[in-house]
Amino acid sequence: MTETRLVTDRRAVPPLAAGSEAVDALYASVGDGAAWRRFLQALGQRLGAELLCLGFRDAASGSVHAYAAVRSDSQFGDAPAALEAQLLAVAAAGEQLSFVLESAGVTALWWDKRGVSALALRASAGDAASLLATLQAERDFLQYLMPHFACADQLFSKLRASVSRVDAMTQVLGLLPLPLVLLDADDRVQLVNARARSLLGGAGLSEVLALPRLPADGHGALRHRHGELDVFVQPQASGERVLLLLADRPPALNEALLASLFDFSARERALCQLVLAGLEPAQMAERLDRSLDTVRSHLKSIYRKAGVHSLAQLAARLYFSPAYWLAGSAEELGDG
Amino acid sequence: MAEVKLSQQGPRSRRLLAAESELIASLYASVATADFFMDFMARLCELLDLRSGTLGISNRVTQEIKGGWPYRIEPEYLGIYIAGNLASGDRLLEHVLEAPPGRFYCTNLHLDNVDDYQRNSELYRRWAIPQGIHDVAMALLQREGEWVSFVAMQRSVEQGGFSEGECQLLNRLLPHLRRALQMHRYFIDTQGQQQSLGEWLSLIRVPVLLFNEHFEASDRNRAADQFFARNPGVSLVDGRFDLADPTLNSEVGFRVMEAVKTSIGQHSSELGLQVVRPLAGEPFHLVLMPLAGRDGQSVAGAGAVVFIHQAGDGYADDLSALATHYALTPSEQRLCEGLLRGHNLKQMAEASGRRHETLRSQLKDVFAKTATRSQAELVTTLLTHPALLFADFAAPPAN
Repeated sequence: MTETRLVTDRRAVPPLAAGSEAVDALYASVGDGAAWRRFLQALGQRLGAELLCLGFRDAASGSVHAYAAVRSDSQFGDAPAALEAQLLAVAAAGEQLSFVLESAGVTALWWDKRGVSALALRASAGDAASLLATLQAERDFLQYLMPHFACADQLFSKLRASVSRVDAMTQVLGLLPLPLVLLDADDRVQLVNARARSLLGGAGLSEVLALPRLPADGHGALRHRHGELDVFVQPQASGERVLLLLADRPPALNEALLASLFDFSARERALCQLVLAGLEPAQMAERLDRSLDTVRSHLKSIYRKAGVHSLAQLAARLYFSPAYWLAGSAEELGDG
Repeated sequence: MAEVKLSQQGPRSRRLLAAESELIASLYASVATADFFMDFMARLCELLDLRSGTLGISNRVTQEIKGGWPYRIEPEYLGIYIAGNLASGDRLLEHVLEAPPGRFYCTNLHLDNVDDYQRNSELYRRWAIPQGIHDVAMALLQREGEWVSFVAMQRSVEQGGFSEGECQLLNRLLPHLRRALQMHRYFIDTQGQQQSLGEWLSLIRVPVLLFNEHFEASDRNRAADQFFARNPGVSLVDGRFDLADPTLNSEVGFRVMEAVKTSIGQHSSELGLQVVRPLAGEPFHLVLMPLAGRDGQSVAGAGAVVFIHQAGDGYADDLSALATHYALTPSEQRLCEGLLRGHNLKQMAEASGRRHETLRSQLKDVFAKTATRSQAELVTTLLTHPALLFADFAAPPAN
């Protein structure tokens, strides 16, 4: 086998080799907000700019967004917000290539191409010739990076859209009143929602996970016994499984939604909380320390407002309302 | 203010650099697409005058191939390579696996006795020569246990061997290839998760929609599909609610926007749950909830959940899944279904022409079987039972 060491061919090293490092750092930061800010800071430093601002315009939707990095000792201090807005306006105006020297002690380099804008600011110093040379190098450098800014930004948007959807679904499933555990095809836990966690405790989860896998032809729900909890397993064709635990108590209904959706008073809401627990009027009276007549009169009013005629019907009506499905979020969300 | 024009500098090196730069951009641009790698490979083939190229993931022990992007390699020859177990005689591959990682190696620069190998090895006789392949450059991208991902590029005799300078260019591309492959996998994984989580959204038995950061409905559950089917006056157009009234549409759109903006911290006040009653006469409400807010610059969710509440939504499913679970007889099952639809025993007795007492005693049996004591408890137990939730799942999705 021959020697594998490579000899660097000096002639092949491009004059803007640092650009490829920047490109590398740029793509490495895609999807990581902190890394992206570090990248911008480093790029600003590399350019010697006190402030660097990047703006992006999406051709399809016309939406624009911008990021800025400022050197800590910069005279521009609080400028980024205003500059971002300015840059967005510039970006929205359309494609241009410009190179501007300003007289009031500040030098600005502004570039806009294919929906990407870059703005670098520095205090003017030294003679015009050396400043021109600096800006020329700076422009070349930015020119090299421009297509990558656009590409990285699009990639970031796509990844974010994708991850956001997963995140949103995870949040929704996480606050459901159903105690559920989602497993992927390799039995890795994808999600344990708050209700399942409170029912299982820490040790319980590993016991549930140790439950035998469903047979290959397993169809529908299988039931396993886990302590006092019933665990139901639903497999998917893809090999994923969802475990649903059977809770002994129904969740507390969302009070704000009971009031808003059904116009129930506080006393009526207190009664509703007992309906899904399956209590009869006499038991409700006892539980709430009220007379049976009072409970009956409240129920009558509840029935009227909900448009039902029996406790069983009321239970179904409550179950098929967001007051049940957003039960878990009652405390976190306030009244709205 | 003065406008300054700059002269062009070093046109030749700039051209080369621009080509490399475009190459890298094309690679990343394809990360989130189905034909990942192909556009990049086409450009690379043009730039470096290559015959073909491949990116593949294979198992060193079993020779199993998990994924691959062959560019200008016919499926027939992929088959020959796999079926003939030609990887075991691939000297360049062996070299790549043993030599320091992160570099390209090629037949003409890094293998000894290469002429003999290119004439007599089984790999060349059965695979390379029939395809007109003479020299190959190859690099390892990643090694995870027995799984390796690698990229290979081929040239014909006429195209000649690889030069040191070309190897250097390829080596510069290597970290990008590795990262792009990782991103691509991450993207595919997330898409898979989206699909499965989207499916589980249907565990929620009321209509639910998810709105993304662009204020568009990205997902909805089965109950939402059913809601739109039942209510022709309400629909989704381009991911936005259409209530057939511009004023209502903008009102609802504004509320959705507020909720989404709250989730990314762009709203002045913290909004919690919002209930919107879009039409005074129509019996439905929208319940809007901002998702938990995150840093706007990180890859994470901005958006809102919208629940639809329709007064008078009834329960119409059959309970056969539960009947099996609790060993209910057919008439006991019908009794339960009647209760869920809000009928009382008297109504059911009249409708079925049976005696009230018969139904009462049947109900007692049902109480015993389900360990419940009241109609309300029975209804709750049945509705919230996992077997019933899953019954919908096992069923093929509504067309």
